[in-house]
Amino acid sequence: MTGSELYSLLESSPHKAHKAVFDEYCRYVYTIVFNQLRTYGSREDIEECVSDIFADIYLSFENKSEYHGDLKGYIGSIAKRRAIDAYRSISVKYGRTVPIDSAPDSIDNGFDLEEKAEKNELRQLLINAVNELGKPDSDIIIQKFYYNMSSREIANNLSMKASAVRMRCGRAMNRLRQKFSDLEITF
Amino acid sequence: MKKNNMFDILNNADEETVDWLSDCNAPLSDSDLKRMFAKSEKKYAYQKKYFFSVDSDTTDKSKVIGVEHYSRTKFRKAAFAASICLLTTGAAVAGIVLLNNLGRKNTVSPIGLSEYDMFSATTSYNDNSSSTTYKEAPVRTSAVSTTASDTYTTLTQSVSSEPQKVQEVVVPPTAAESTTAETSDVSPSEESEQQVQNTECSKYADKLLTALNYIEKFGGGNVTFDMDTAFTDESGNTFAKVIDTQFSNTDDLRNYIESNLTETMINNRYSGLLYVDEPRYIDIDGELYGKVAPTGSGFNWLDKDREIADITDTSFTVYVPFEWYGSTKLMIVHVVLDNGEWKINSFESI
Repeated sequence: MTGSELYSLLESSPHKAHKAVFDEYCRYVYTIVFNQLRTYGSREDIEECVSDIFADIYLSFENKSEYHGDLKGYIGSIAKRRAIDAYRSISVKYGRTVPIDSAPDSIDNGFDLEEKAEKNELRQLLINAVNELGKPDSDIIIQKFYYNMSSREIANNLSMKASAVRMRCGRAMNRLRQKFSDLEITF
Repeated sequence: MKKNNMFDILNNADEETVDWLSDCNAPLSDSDLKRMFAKSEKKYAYQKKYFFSVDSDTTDKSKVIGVEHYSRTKFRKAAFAASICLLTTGAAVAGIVLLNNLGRKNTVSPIGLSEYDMFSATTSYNDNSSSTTYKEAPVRTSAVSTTASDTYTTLTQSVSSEPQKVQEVVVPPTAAESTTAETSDVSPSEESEQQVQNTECSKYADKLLTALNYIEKFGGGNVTFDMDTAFTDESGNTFAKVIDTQFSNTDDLRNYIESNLTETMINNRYSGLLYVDEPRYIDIDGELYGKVAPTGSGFNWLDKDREIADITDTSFTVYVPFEWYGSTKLMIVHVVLDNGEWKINSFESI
């Protein structure tokens, strides 16, 4: 949906415009938020953040700014910033922050180019390996081990039986492990 | 905090990876979407009403308008007391149900543990009380292993006669079908050869799964003892003679284990039976005695949904669901040809 299409819909029915934006971008926004909050956030935190993001988006439409291009980049930016804010506020609960008074004099910025490059490479290898599994095995693997869903939930999402999900998951993981052991990579 | 796994590398991903992840069917059901949309609309309406004026260009978020209504429960104490009673009653009922079920259940899955220290099982004693014992010993020929399967089926039925809901398990495609789907150019002769292989492997799978269940029971001390022969050794362990079994002594038991499991499998999980300094089973006057300390029981295979796959000349894999405390898990059993005999080399469950 482009900005122009959105504004013509907003003129006629704001609620329909909101629903259209939500339906088109909800999964994208959820993925961005989950990617940030996966470690410390609960499912409720993630849903709360997604709702906040869309509320911000709807409010931004009230400013009557003119958007003619693709909304995805704009929505992605709002989502990422909100998700990072949420991550910071949630991670305080888990003691990941220290008072500035007790912080060491020189703080390592944690940026290691070599480590980052290696991580990017491994990430790409993992994505390629999962893609090679084909659907629905790739979806099952991602939902099981990245989204931490149960077999029953995955089965409901993919219209399969839980036993079939478990069986496919087992086989897919074996193939992934085999592939990575062939590459002499261990996780 | 979530447990680490290899997919943690996808955290804080770049835009390309996020796009890829969002294509992988983000796990949102219709009810999740409805709920989030309703919440977003509510937040939008609230913020628009109390923080933003459409006619004004100012968006002063520091200004608070309106009063948040908070209603206090009038019958707070009564509601609190009622909820406490409900919780206590619920916990008591659940505990009674669990205690009843533990005595009847015949499944365990301490996968990854080398000792059976997670579950208690029913151990039967020769005190004339009725008990669940393994009357017919599984043997190696296919005819008699059918008998053993029947016996096992009877046991399964006795367990499932309890009012518990057993999950339905879909019948997966056979290895022949799945292999055919993956390689569309398989000729009819190759297909029939695969089916023959599948049938052969299925026979071995029957025998090995039955043996695994039996060895698992022995491993967990879920056998029949003659308590009149019981004694306590220097270390405080109580031993008694094992009865109602095909094994006369430890050599018999050792031969049975070693003809069904590889050395790797034995070392990983069953070394405690016979292969350690203080084994669970010993010989006293040439007769088989066992430690009276039940810690586990066998596997309740849901055989009808079993699948054989990855068949080669020297190995195959069995995917077999099993019942585990009211839910269904999948066991992946790796079988190899070891000195001319098919044996279980490892297994894992998911």
